[in-house]
Amino acid sequence: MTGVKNEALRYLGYRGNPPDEATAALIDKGYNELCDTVSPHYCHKITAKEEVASLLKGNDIAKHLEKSERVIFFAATLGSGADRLIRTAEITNMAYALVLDALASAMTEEFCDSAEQELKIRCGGHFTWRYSPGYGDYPIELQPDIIRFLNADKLIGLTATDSNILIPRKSVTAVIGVSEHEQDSGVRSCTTCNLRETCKFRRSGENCGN
Amino acid sequence: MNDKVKKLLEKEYVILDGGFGTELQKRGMKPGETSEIMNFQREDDVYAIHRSYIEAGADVINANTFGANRLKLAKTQYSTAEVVRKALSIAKRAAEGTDTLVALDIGPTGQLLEPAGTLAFEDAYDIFREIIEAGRELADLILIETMTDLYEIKAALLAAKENSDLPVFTFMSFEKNGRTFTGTLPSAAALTLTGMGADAVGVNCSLAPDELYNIVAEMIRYTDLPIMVKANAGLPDPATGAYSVDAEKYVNDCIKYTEMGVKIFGGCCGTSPEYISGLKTMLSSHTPVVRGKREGIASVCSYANTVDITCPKIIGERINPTGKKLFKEALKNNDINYILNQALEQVAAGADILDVNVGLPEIDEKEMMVRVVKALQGITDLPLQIDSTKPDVIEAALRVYNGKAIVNSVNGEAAVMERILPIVKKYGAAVVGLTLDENGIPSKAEQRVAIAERIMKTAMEYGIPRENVFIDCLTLTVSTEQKAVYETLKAVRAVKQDLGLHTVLGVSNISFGLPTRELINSTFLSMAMECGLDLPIINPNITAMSGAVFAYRVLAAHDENAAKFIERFGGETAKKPTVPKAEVTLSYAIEKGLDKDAEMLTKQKLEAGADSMDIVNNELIPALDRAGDDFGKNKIFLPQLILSANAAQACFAAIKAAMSGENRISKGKIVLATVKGDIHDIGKNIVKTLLENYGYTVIDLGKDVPEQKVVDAAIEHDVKLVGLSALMTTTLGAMERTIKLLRESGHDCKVVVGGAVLTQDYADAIGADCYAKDAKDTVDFAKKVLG
Repeated sequence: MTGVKNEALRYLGYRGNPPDEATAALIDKGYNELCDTVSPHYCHKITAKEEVASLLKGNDIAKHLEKSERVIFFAATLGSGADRLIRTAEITNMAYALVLDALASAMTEEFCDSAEQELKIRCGGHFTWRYSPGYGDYPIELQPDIIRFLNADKLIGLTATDSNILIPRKSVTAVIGVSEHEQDSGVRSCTTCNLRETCKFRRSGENCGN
Repeated sequence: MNDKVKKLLEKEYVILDGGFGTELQKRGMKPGETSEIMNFQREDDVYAIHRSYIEAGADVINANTFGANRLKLAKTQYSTAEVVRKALSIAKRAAEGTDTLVALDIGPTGQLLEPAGTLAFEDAYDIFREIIEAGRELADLILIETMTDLYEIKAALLAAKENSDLPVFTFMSFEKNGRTFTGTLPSAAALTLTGMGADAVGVNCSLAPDELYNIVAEMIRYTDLPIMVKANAGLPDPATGAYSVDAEKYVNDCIKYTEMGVKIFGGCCGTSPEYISGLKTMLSSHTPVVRGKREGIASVCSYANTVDITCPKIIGERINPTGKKLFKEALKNNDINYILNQALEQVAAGADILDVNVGLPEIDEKEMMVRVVKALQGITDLPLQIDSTKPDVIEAALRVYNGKAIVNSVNGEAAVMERILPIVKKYGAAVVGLTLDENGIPSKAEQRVAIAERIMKTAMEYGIPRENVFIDCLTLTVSTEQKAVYETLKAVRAVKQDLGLHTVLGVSNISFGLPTRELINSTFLSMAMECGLDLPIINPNITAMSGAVFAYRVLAAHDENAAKFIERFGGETAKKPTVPKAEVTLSYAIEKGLDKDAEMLTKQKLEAGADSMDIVNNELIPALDRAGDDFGKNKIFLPQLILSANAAQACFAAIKAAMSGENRISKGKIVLATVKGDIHDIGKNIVKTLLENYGYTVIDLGKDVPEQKVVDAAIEHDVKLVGLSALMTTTLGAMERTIKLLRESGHDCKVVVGGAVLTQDYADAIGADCYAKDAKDTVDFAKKVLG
């Protein structure tokens, strides 16, 4: 199984257990169908930290970028095809929809990882991990402003609803700190996470990081 | 069209302006700032940019109104009307004393429309209406651009046509894969916008000129309107913001467009007055190529799928309540999923177009039609045929349809044509004409052809192109009028050959009252195709029917190398319903998620005289319980639990099909909703699947559901249990408000809540009766409340 498929199994709550035959078949089918459907795009801008102060509200993001001189604003999406595939499956086969949803989430992360690798080569320097609105006290209300700053609606077709949910659904916006010097890339930690009380991974003694 | 624009389009070439945002940034605007505010804060810069484009040779300049809609201006102190009027007045001042025209520039709202996003089509229309009303007195034309969703540009174009007399130029933005971000095809854009009355169509933004040739070529094939190209100067550098294509290359790459017959040129992001003056110089030395007229190929489309009627195409007939008990019941119960399943089954069976008929005396046909059309286009990209006799139903459907539809139908009666053809024209649809009139169905082919000709001529008088008129020569039942079959076929041939129109035929009527109807149907279908039938309306789920069309396409050399045929039937071995092995019991099949077996075994039990409630109570529910227990003990995982639910669903469907409509099994009604502001509804849908398969009737209000709507539904359906879900911290407030409103209404019911961010404590704090950590918990609570 590829990384994406394994990651999807984790999202589905398998905790390292092998999938049963029926689910494994759905995962294979879903993976192939998603690969034919998704249209991943990303865009970014890199600037000095002072220039984007209005997009960096809250204590947690300040701490995250403490040692960074520059910041990368980043947005990525799988495109609306994945949403459509999941929506259709919800009509005919809910189990398949569930599997597709998990796979698409895993693909989004994988795509962000590979985009980040490209950015590392292109921008140089030392990166922090990707910090997204809604995490810690970094306000999710900044989504539309980040989209506008990145011109992400024109460049990759990303939008936000009135309640700041990204559309297409399988999308991410994030901030990465860049420093000329070694900096703590920071392990994502549960202590600042908003979901720590309810997280299904924590309940079973895991965490969502790798 | 006004005289100014008419004169403009008489010119050999028309030159538009170039990038505006990038020009403002050169003058000091920061990325992320709202460029429409610059009409107030940097009026001189805005004026100067307009002047620079006029001096560079632009025949049309865009006022700085691209994002002047109420959504994008919400965080500013300005209203749409203020920005639009201010921007237009600056542009008018800049154009004073020149021949340059001023366009009201309209860009996307910034939110995605349903079903991909949450903005309703009607709301998008209203946002555009507001812009147009503010600008129509000042602008010379309306220019709609950078649209990536055909649905959104349709809303804008409709708003422009209904609220002004100004000419409208329409642009969409495409990606390298030949589609827009939302999947819109160039052909679908050209067909739909042309039909809706745009005055020019084209591409702008996103790509450089040398990346757009194929996209523009596809548009050209689907419209006779003037074509426009307004490309980007390549891509911006993420660090410096500089664009990658210079003026010289931009202009050189545009030469090829003159050879393709493109008439209107301009620039988008990253282009400057230098690019525009370069275009002017280049165009002055290139004679325009006159495009040939589009040949009379009929095409219909959804946003993402264009169907050219160049060989027989299947119209699936299953979305129709006539003679179908379960379908009628689904309509009465607002069970949209049932209808969507009917659609997806036909898609899988090879349908090219879906007929949609939801007429039932007991329901509001118009409201239902709109709901069904919107839901269908969320899950399939097959073009739709709107099947109704009521003009208001047809208009409501065409309005919200995202593409070019077919209207089924008009006939030779003058009054009918007078009512329906103007609607067909307004929305650019194709129309089916039945060869009957106030005197009934003529018995002779010649008379039917005469009616067909009358319909064609009348349609053309309304401005409907002849290729958009499809004729149905009417199938009569062979068992009552045996000789009439040949009259129908004769008429099909004549309409096709003599009138040159496409033909439609409902096929299934032919065999009424005869045994092995499929044999008669498929033989008649093959005869009709050979006579020139283009659009058989059939049940594609019957392989003998859809297979006849696939086979015909091979035999008539449309399906090259039989590729499509082999793709569909190549793996086919004689398909028999597999009889489950003896050891597979119904309980086992449900527990293991074997839906086909579950269905088959249920049917066997029913045929053997088993009581349906016994099956549900003694087999289905205990099996689901066991799966639920295993899930609770981590022996199985969520997908397996849902597979069990799917198998239970198949069992239920078999039971329902065997029962009369009035005698439905229901253990009680439950209202489910994902709260206002939240659109993460997969969890809610899982809960729904499970509840339904325990025999509860779920009234699913969907996602992003306003508080009051939940209360209204709870009262209207007198439910004793309401389930609410939320996945985001920011939408928990809406959940709390919904519960509060429910309590205030005095309606006596329990509330169960769930979703990733909820906890028991929070559920208690907002006054819920139960916190369900997963779908299984919800079922357990439902059992407690409803039994």
